[in-house]
Amino acid sequence: MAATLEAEYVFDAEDLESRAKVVKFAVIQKDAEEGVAREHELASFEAMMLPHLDAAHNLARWLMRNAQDAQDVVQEAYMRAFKSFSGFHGSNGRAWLLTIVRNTSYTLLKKNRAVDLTTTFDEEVHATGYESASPATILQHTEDAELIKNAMGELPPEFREILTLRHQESLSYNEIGEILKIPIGTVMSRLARARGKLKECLAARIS
Amino acid sequence: MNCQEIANLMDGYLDGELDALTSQKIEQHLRECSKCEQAYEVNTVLAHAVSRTAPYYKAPIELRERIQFSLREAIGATTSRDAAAQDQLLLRRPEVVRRRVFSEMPWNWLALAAAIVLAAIIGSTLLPRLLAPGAGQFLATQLIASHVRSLMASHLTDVAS
Repeated sequence: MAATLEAEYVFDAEDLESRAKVVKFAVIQKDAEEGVAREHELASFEAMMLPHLDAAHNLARWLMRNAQDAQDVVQEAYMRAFKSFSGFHGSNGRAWLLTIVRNTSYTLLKKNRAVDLTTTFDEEVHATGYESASPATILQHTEDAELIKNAMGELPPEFREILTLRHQESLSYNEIGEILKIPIGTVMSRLARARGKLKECLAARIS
Repeated sequence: MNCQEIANLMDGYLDGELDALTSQKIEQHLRECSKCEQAYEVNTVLAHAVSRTAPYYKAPIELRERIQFSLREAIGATTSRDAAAQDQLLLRRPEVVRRRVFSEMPWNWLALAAAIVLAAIIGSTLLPRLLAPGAGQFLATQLIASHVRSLMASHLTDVAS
């Protein structure tokens, strides 16, 4: 009686093990297929988005004004972008990525220093006359990288971002409007205000 | 166009975002109005300063590596977590797994096995018969061969004479 029981037990154990292996094989097979699909998605994501890494970093760097924060923002933005990549069907990958970089930057800016965002620009107070700095004076200093950098860094984030998107990334008003979620007319008027303010900051630093 | 209108459109003109007709009007105004012309020059210089003199912060190589690593980690982590969850299921409910083994086995594997067995049966019974030359075929081969031999012989004589 005891022997029968033992034999049954052994058979049972072996059986369970072999069948478990079969099931496990099926599971691994399914996992491998899913893994391959994920790798394909990652490959196409990288092919489409990594070429814009410099643009992403440059925008984040100007917005955050700090090397470490900029890197954190860009990394976070790429992770966010990858998560929602399956939902992206547009053709302008750069604008899409820069939108995410911008949103991520603002999230961190709000968290770090809420004050930074409240420095909105008052057109009436800051209206600049043409005579505030002569072209000749400004022309003399436009090769001064440190001066330009500091004057631009002084601007509110909405001006820093629009100047960098327009002049460093050479984006069209249409693309800028898409990234900043504003109409094209507003892109133009904001650029005008940004340049006016930059001119003012430069003039103040020169004199 | 008056100077105020020009000032409003100047940035669009500078960025080449205006239509041809408006651009032409502004161009004409700038030729006639030195004040606006000077303002335009300042704006051009500023635009160049931002595009050429202001630093462009390229991404450091470590950042690219860090991002690529994190992305791989993100897809890898989910895979191993799924596998771990499956393992736990396997350990906790062996009976259920045992009963469902056959039904969970992919049908294409069963079909493949059946196909191999069938192919083996067909191969072992039919192939030897197909390959062995029949008696009639043997005779035909002999006849053709002797005919070719006779043709070759006369051909050789032709060349010799």
